Amino acid sequence: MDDEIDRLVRAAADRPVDTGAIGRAVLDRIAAPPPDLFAWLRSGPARLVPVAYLALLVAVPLAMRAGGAEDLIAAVALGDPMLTGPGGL
Amino acid sequence: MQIPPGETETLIREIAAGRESALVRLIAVLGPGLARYAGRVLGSAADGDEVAQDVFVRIWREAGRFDPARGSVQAWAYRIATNLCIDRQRRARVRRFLGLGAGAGAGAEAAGEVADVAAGPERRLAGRERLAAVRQALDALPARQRMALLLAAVADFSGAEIASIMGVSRGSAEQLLVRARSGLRARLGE
Repeated sequence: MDDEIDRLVRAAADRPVDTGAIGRAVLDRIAAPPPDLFAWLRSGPARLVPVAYLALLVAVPLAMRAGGAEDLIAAVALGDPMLTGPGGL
Repeated sequence: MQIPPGETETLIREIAAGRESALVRLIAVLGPGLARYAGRVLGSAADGDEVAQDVFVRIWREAGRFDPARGSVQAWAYRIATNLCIDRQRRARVRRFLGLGAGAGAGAEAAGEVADVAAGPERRLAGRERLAAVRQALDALPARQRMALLLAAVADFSGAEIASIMGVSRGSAEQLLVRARSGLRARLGE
């Protein structure tokens, strides 16, 4: 009885399968390089990020030594209305 | 296709060593069964072929991690296929819930359309209605019962192997098989 049901199921599932096509698709996929998740890091705009960071590393200490940056940073941090209020910088 | 004993294990070792010819041979040996199994589980021949591809890509990448102590190569391949089918069914349910399409099962007739083309026209005509009824009854079974029955009927796995592939106890696998067969019998009016 079970054998008859299994035979019917086997017949119902049976169909021609093109293993050549499956093989070609699989070989194409394994030949392709894996997806590069960090490609955006090498894109044009992303390349500017380390440049901007280095520029800040140089510019901020220079500005602080010149005396202008300390007041500016303190004013922004304290919410000086001259800077952050209406009509401020 | 009859598989000589130990051949798939040898092929897996060669695949792990990076030999593409071994992968092509494994696809020829296991591909038809895997594609038929996944196609019937998902109700779409095209989805079944895609799952078979995914299985072999994964086998290529993870052949070095195959552990013969945990089961045969066939059982490993069908376990991967089963998990991929479950993922696809889950995604299809989400798509249906969001109203984004019919999802898995949309191609239910597609698998049937191409079946039995090698048989003679008379036999095809006589068996077509019967096979269509079986496919319909299969599709109406709960997914896990359908999987268990297809693993037994298409891939000839034992209850213990089905349990290992589906990640359930042997008793549960036997229960799924009993319910699937009696459900199918009832739907077919036998």
